[in-house]
Amino acid sequence: MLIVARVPAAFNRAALNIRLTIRRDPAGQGIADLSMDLSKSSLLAGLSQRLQFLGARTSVIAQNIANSDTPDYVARDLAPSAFDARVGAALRVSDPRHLQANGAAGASVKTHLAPDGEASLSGNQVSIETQMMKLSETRMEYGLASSIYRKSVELMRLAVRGGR
Amino acid sequence: MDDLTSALSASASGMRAQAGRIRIVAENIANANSTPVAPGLEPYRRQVPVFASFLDKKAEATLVTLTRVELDPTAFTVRHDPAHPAADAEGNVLVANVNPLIEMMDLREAQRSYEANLGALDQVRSMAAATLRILE
Repeated sequence: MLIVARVPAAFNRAALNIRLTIRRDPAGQGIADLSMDLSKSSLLAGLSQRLQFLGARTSVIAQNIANSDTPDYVARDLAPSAFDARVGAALRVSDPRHLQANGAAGASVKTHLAPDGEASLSGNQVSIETQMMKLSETRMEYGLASSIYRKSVELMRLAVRGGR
Repeated sequence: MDDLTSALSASASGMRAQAGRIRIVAENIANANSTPVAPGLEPYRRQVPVFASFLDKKAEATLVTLTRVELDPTAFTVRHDPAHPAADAEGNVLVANVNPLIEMMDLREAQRSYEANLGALDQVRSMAAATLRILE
């Protein structure tokens, strides 16, 4: 019995894609491939999607802060529903050897305009205070999701080590 | 480019633009008392930074840039100083159209925006650190 554990080199943000493949080759019976893909676990998949969403939202907020003095710039925001569409847009795969892409790569996110209160004389509609508040909120949620992710991976490791 | 890196690029562009603005404000303050060298010439004219947002394809983010610097068309200050080499027939000298009070306010606003970008950068960095801790 040959046991191969491999961790893909491409570490796609939080999508820790640990794959455990067990190959058996009893004489003349061919190779049976029993693989376990951690990214298929609904908890980890959900958390990694959440982390991706929060990362994308952080990017949008950082762009708002950078443009807080640009004339006619209106603040933008990202809704979780808009992000679901992006994650769903994955490459179609008809063979396991095809390239796997989880939609997040290359697809654009649909942001919506979210002006903060009144416009200034230059037509700019960004309030740094509101954006900083949104940013710290996103940062806290990101911390929460990544801690839960870490704890679940730790639990799995504990199970693999047999409680030691 | 992933989202956290785009966020870093956006914050960096904001800091760069605000630093450019601070430089222009500093030039204005430095030249607040500039006068022409001879009568009939113009003194220093106040500079006004103009920001514009643009979509950066590489960073996949709407960045900000200091597109151009315009000259303030308001009238120069006139000071009566007959002894000055640049004084005209009536003894008046043109002085730069810079109001130090306005410049100080502009400087304060630029500083505040710069700090906001720096704060955003710090938050993004701590998020990236949280992601890396998953590996521990």
